[in-house]
Amino acid sequence: MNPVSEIENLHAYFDGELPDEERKAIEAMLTEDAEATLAELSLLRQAISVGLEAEAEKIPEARFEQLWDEVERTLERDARLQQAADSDVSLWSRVGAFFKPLWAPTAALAGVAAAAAIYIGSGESEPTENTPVSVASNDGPAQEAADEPMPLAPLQDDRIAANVEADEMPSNNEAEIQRIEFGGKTGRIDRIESKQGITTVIWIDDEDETLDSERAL
Amino acid sequence: MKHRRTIFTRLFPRPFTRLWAPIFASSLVPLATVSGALLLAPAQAQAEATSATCEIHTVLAMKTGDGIPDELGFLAGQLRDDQFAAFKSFRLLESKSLKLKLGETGAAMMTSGHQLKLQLLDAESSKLKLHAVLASGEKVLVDTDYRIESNGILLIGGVRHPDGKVFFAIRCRGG
Repeated sequence: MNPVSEIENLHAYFDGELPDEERKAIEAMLTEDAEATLAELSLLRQAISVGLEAEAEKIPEARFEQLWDEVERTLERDARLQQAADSDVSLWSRVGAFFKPLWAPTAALAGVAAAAAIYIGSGESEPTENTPVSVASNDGPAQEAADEPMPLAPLQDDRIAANVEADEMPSNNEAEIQRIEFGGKTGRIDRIESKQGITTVIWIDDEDETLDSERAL
Repeated sequence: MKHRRTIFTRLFPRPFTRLWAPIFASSLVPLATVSGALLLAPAQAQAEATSATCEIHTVLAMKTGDGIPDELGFLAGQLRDDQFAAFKSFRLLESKSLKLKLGETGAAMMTSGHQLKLQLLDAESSKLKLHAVLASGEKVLVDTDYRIESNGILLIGGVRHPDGKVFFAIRCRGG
C-alpha cells in the first residue's frame, strides 16, 4: 500500500468501514510488524497534523487578532482592578466604611428622638401675641369656697395676678364641651377661627330675641 | 485585596469589629432612654398637674363706639370675627383670677352682677377639665363641663347689659 492508501485505510479502519479481510490485514500488520506499526503511527500523526493545519487555515487571521485583543483587554482590566484594590484608600473612606454598620441604629435613634421632640412640642402651643392684659375696674367680692350659696365673699385683688401674666397670650385651642345646660330659653355653641386658633363661644340667649344659628340648642 | 494590619486590627480582629454595630447600638439604647426620660419629664410633670390658675375677663360689647382697646388685644382676633359684627366697640370691665385645686370650686363675683363658679375636675397632660356655672343672681344662665388645652380661652357671652352685651373670657393654666 502506498501512504495515501494506507491513511485512507486507517481512517476507514477506525470508522469501522473496512471489509473484514482488509480489517484483519491491518490488525495483523499492527500486531505483528513493529516497523509497520511505527510507520502507521507516523502516518497517523502526519494525518492529524495535516487535519489541524487544514482547520487552522479555515479560520481567518482577523479572528485571531480579535481573540488576542480580547485577551489583552481582559488582562489590562484585571491589572487595573488589582492596582485599584492595592492602592491606598482615603482616611474618610476608611472611617465611613468603619461606621457603615452604625447607620441603621443611629438613624433609628434619631427617628425616636425626632418623634419625642414632636410629641413634646405638640403639648402646649405658645402664645401668638404679646398685648398686655390690664384691669379696667376694681375687684368685686371674692370667695374661696365654691359650694357656698351666693352672695360670695370678695376675692383678693386680682389685678396683680392678671398683670403678672399679662405678657402671655392664650393658646386659643378649641374647648370640648362635654355637657351643657342653659338656664334660659336657648343658647348655642359656636366657634371662632382666627389666626390665634379656634376659640369656642357659648352664646346665652337670655332675651326674647331669637338667635339665628345652625347649632342652636 | 491587601489588608493593612494596623494596631487596631491586631487588637481587634475582624470577627470583633463586626460586633461594633450591635455593641454601639446597645450602648445607645440606655442613652436614648435617659435622654427621652429627661425630655419627657416636663410633659410628665404637666400630666401630674393638680391645680390651675384661671383668669376671668368681663368684656362689654357695645353697638356704639369704635374699635378694640389695647387691653383686649389678647381677644382681638376673636372679637373681629363676624359673630361680633353687630358690636362696634368693646371694653374690658374687669379681670379676676381664681386658683383652683383639683376637685375644688372657686367662685368670682363680677361687678356686672354675675357670678362665675369654676371647678377643676381633671388635669391630664396639657388639658384641663373644668366645670363652669355662670349665674345672674339666683338664675343659672349656663352650666357646662368642658375640656380645653391649658391656657386656652372659652368665651361665654350674650348676657344682657344696660350698655350692650357682656362676655366672659375664661382662661385657665394647669400647674
